[in-house]
Amino acid sequence: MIRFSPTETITNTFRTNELDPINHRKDHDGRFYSISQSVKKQLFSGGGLPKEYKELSETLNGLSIMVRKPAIELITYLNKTNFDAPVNRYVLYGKTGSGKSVSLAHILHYGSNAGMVLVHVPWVPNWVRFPKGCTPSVIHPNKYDHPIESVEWLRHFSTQNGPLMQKLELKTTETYAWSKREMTAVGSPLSELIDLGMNRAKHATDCVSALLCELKKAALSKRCRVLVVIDGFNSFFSPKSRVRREDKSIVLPTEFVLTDAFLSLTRNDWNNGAIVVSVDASAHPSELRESPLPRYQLGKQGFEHLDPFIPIEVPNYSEKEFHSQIDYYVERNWLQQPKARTERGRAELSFTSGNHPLSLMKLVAPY
Amino acid sequence: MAVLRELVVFPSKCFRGVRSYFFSAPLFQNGSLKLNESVSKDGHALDFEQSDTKKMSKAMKSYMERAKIHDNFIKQQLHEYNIGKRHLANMMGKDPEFFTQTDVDEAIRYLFPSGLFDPRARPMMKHPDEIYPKRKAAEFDVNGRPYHSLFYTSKPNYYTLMHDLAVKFKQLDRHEDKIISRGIQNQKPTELFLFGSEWIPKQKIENVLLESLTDAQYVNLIKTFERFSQHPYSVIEKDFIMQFRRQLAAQVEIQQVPELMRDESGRPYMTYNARRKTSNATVKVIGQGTGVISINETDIHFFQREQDKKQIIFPLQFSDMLGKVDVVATVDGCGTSAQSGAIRLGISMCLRSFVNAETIERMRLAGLLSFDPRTRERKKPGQAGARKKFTWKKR
Repeated sequence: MIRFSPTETITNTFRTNELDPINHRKDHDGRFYSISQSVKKQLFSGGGLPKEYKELSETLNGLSIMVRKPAIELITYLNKTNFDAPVNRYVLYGKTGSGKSVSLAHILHYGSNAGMVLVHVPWVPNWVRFPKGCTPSVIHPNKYDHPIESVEWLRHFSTQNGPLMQKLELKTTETYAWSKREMTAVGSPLSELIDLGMNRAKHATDCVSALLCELKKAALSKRCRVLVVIDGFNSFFSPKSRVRREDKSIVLPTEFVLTDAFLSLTRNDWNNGAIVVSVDASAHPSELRESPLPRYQLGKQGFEHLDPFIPIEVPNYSEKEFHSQIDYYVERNWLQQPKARTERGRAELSFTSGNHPLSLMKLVAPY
Repeated sequence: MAVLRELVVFPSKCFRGVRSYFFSAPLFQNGSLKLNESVSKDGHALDFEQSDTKKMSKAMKSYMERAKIHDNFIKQQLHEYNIGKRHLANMMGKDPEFFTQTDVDEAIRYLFPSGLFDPRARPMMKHPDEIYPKRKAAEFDVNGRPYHSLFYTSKPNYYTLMHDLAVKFKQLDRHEDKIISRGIQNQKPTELFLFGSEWIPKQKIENVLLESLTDAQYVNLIKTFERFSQHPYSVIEKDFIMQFRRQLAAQVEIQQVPELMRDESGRPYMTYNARRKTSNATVKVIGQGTGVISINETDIHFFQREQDKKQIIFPLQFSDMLGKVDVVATVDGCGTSAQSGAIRLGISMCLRSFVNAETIERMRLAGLLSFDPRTRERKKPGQAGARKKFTWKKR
């Protein structure tokens, strides 16, 4: 098995030497660039790569992401952003399995390399559909906390932004009183806030809200640049969740404290940052999966919240991207049938998968 | 009389058609044995014959009576048929003199429209010969003496045929010897061309011979025929052999492959409406394409199962047109299997216009161009399903 290392000279056409997403341009379209283990661990240990994709990358000895048009488009925009203007909201949309999450992962890597503070929600429906225990909020009446999920998220945040936070040394701008005895004073480092949240599950959700608030203020006062990446954003506006009250009535996602926190962050009332969000049909229950388009998936409430935004479609593979993907599988010995490597074989794979990334991955899998 | 019949010369009988080959004896309907006539010929014979008729057994008598009744019956039917034909002709406003059987069939179809499935169950008016099964002529004379020398084999016609074949074979051998003795060694006889026909089935032979055969006897007969037709000079007896062969469905009957049509942008295309079970698919295959497929305005993922996708891809892969044509299909009805089968047939039929004749033949042999006539079998009363029976209780 060939282990591809970043310093190796590349002779094939489906890979690129350019490992820094900041420099990815149109001519890198359809090419794979590899992400080192350390970066992968830092950025994606709390989530962010689709489960099967991640497993496949481990099988194929190294995470390699294909540089595709949506990501290139986003990178061009982000490079040219005027950070004094209010934040731009970008919405990635497309059929389920067309590559939105992986594009977001690519942008995450970009943000990390560009020195932006990453506020990353790997997959919102995990909070809406499979919460590990929602408790009614103490501070906010009629709202619900996610104690376990908030702790996990704070851990994920600190892993992603650890070194950067140490460098930035951001401080709180107001006091937070958690109880009669516990409080976080003004001017205390944000890392203290995060640690408190990680240790005290009861206050974790409110810590998250506080943290997001602080980051927003920090961005406004030009102390840091914030990149918000949220996958499955339309789940915040889902018509139902799996959380029920004592009287068996369903709690809507808009009644979560976390929802409020992230919706406040995704409002365009701040600058010096960027918001990249994806909407996916699978983030909604089956009744709301008719169309992959943003207006349908966000609903009235979500659309009004995000409007104006820049929609970016994530399409199926183009012919070049498809051949590149097959080349990659062939090189990694994932496609072992000699017939699969022929022109006819490729045509069959293209036809049967419909050039759809997820379908191709499943088709090519031996299970 | 009986002895004479044995020595009947074969060649003159052979070429008159299979039926006449065996109907040397008068049929029931044509002749009725005129007992009185034979009696009144010779005075001396009279006494003898009179005494013989007296000795005629009851079995013989009843046999004669049955023969007479049948004969009269058929005569009556024939008379009615002819009258009926004239009536029909008058009804339909056609000339009774030139009213053929096809006209009769048409008239019956018009006057008695039937929705019945089996053609044999529908009303028909045909010549009595075609409706009432033929019977063998009188096999023995007044005195009970059989006419045919092989009568006591109980299958005289069958064994006659077998003997004929043997005799003919010997004749062909003698012919071959003559040719060789004349020294014409290089002359190859024209081969008997049996392609496109097959031996007539057992039922047909039984109808011709008016005798029922066992399977072994039929097989024996066919084997004999095969051996006979493999003789180098069997072409001499071609007409005799062809009497016992039937033409297969003409393979020359190639369906006309429709010409490609052109759309506004000049691209060639072909459409076809295909069916499978109760689903209908309208398929349009457009040339100069890149392999784009659209089913009911979605892509290949309209079918979620791999087997359905395989059905769609099969004709394109088989004819090497994958990635060269675009497919636009609309389908409805039934389930996914039937829908994908219908689209497959539609694509195959459209592709005929794009590929050469050899590929069309290969497609036909692969079964791509055949309509699948299987439909859901009806549930029968007294059973749980089409084949499933209710629980069988011993008591």
